[in-house]
Amino acid sequence: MILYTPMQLELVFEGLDKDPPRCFEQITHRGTSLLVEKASFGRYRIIRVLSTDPAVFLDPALQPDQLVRPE
Amino acid sequence: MFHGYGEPNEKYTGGTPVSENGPENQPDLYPYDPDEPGESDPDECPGEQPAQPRRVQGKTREVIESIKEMGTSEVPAPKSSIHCLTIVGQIEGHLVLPPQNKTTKYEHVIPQLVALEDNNEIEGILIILNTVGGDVEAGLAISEMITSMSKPTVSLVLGGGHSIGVPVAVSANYSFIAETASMTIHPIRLNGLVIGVPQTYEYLDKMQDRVIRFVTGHSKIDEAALRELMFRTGDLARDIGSVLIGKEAVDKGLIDEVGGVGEAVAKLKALIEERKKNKGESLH
Repeated sequence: MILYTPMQLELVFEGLDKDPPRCFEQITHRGTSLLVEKASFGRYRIIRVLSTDPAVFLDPALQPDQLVRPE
Repeated sequence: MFHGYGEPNEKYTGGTPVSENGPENQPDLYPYDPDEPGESDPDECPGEQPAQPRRVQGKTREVIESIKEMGTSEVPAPKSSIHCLTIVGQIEGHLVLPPQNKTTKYEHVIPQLVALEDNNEIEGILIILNTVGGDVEAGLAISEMITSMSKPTVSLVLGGGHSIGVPVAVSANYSFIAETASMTIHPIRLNGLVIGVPQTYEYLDKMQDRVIRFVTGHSKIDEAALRELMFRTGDLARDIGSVLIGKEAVDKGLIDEVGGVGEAVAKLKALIEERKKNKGESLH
């Protein structure tokens, strides 16, 4: 991987070695598979949408970093 | 700490419509009948104006839903025939960057572009850039996606379109740059898992050639001029390279025109009209 950026790499990668490893899991929400991370109050934060339907990626409720509550 | 919201045992009895009970459990608040005429129908013809969503206590159903689900109220906007793709922060590639970075996730943007190409209601795409660059592969992937679309695309650089933001900016059919926006052009540097042997130099040179080839192929700048900008000394404090601001980027042939969102949308609409006249033929 090559980062091509004028930003100082120390700033970009700051905290990469300190943060605890993030724990992702896969859930199905409204018929779509999502790779999510646990957030507070029983919700999940979307990391990645796992779908082959391109229209799903335009759904405003299924954008990365949105919070979802499993059904 | 914020208590009382979203807890499983529902004790919250405040007078707001925000509640764990679904709308069907609140007949007074929301007497929803799916068969009732006047509800907006998802199978409706795309050309027709959708029926006014039902209003309850001064709020539409969507607003109540978004308050309940997200804690925010988003005003439902009328559908537009153009879509706006924003490329902000770092373009994130194969490595998830630490959370202090604002990132554009290429694995989400690429299928979005497929959906925009496929969707019959969308006629053009406006790409707004304010990026500090990022992963070479991811940036080039997005650029290649944008440039191969059959629908009209217009890009607008606001604030900055640095490094790998340059190929993304030139990938559109027509590009704009705000008067004060800047673009940094500099060589690709050593980072990541690259072993320090003579081949490293050749590898970086090849990566750089990919960027140069894309930029010269999709803008009016020639290779010699771009390399001169890339290896100029004395412009940047910590690096070699150069910064182009607004009109300078247009003078160098990198960007087509200086302008803002008004000019960009007007140009996109003109390109859409042109495409309609040519009966949907590609602009390439």
